[in-house]
Amino acid sequence: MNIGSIIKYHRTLRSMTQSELCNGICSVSHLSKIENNNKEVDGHTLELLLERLELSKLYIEESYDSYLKLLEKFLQSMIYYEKNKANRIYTELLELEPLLTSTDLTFSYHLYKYRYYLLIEDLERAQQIKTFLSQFTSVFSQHESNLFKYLNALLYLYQAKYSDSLEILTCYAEDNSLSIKMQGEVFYYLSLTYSYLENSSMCVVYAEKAFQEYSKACNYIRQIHTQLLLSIHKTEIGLYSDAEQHFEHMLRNAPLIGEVQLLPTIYHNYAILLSNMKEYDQAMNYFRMAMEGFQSSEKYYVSLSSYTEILLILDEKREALNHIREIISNTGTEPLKKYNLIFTFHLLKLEQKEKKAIKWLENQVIPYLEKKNLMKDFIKYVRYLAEYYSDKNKEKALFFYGLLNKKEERFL
Amino acid sequence: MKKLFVLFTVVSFLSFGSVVSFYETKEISTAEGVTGTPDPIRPPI
Repeated sequence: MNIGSIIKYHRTLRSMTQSELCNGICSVSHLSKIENNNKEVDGHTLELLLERLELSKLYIEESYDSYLKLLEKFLQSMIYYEKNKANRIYTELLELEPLLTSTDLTFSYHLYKYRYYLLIEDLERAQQIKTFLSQFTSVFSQHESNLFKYLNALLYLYQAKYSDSLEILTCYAEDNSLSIKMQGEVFYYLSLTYSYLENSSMCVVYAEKAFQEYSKACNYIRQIHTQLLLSIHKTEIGLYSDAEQHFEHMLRNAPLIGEVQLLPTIYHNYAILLSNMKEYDQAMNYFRMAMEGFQSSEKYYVSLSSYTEILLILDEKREALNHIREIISNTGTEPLKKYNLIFTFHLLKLEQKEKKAIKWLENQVIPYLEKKNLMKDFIKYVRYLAEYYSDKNKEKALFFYGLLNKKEERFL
Repeated sequence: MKKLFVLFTVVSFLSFGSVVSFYETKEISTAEGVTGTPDPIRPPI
């Protein structure tokens, strides 16, 4: 039990200075060494310091092992993506908070709470606890310090700061300095980061590693999440039969382990595979099933956009127009703004407003895609503009071809 | 007279059809080359 860290924690919590706490008990430098766990504290000094902090030694020692076990269970439930179990343990831990924060488990407790807020996507509280914990990094143990950095990487992932997330996760994947239980997670999050960065081959490499680790640990829910990544990016690479196999497994296993809420996501991504294989009728069926499951959420509009693109490919203009209008009126804000801009372009094209559509692409769509670093879409629309101008305006055509070259080089 | 009437009907029908199909193609056309790359929905963090 690192009693020095506990003293520092409670002193900071009470906004006391070191001299206020140690006045008449010991010197400031002595207290500083105790707080940094550089010096053993004798029984009498400890008693006086705790008394000034209104704590008792017995209170601190009591039930230490049971808290430790409960915290381990909490972490385990999050690694296994058992949200209900994690919710229950979180409520139990909140009741024990005064006790927990009096032991050297205090940082583990706060770190696991940080992990929990990330699990339930409460990013505001995750940011708050990150700020709070940042004050104590100098007294963290090596394990706590590693865990803190790792959790920051997950927060960066939510905040779309992919290069920051990648830097931290790559270190942990190479040196195995996190707990062995979290090895699968490190690979999974690396794979997910590469997925957001649209780097399919690296995503597949780490997803395969994550899948192996999760299989060893019988972590069934995360195995399905990993298979989703594998199927999305194998589709992207063109390994269609591999991707199809993953979808078959997921469609069979997700209901078996009670993960029915994952089905619409699986349907959506399966529809993309079918669409790539030019099986448009089947693809549209799966998009419809996905939309039924998502209802009016953000994911619904992502699915509706994909569905509408197929209608455009199939030249089903009238049905496409109705959906385009629905998409435009429901995607005005982030994170769906991209669809608003792109489908406004489609609408202008369908209304034969060619010049307006091109201006819209140049002034709205392209700058937005570049700013958001959405390279695949960016390249697609810049290529479209370059081809459009090739027989109309040589100067502009050259400009867009040049832009295309520059970005494609960087993207590859 | 009857033949003339049939001829007139057929010609009118064909003209009307071509006007309609002209209108259809004129009214809307798709943005070829920029469709067909749908976005995946990723698993949770």
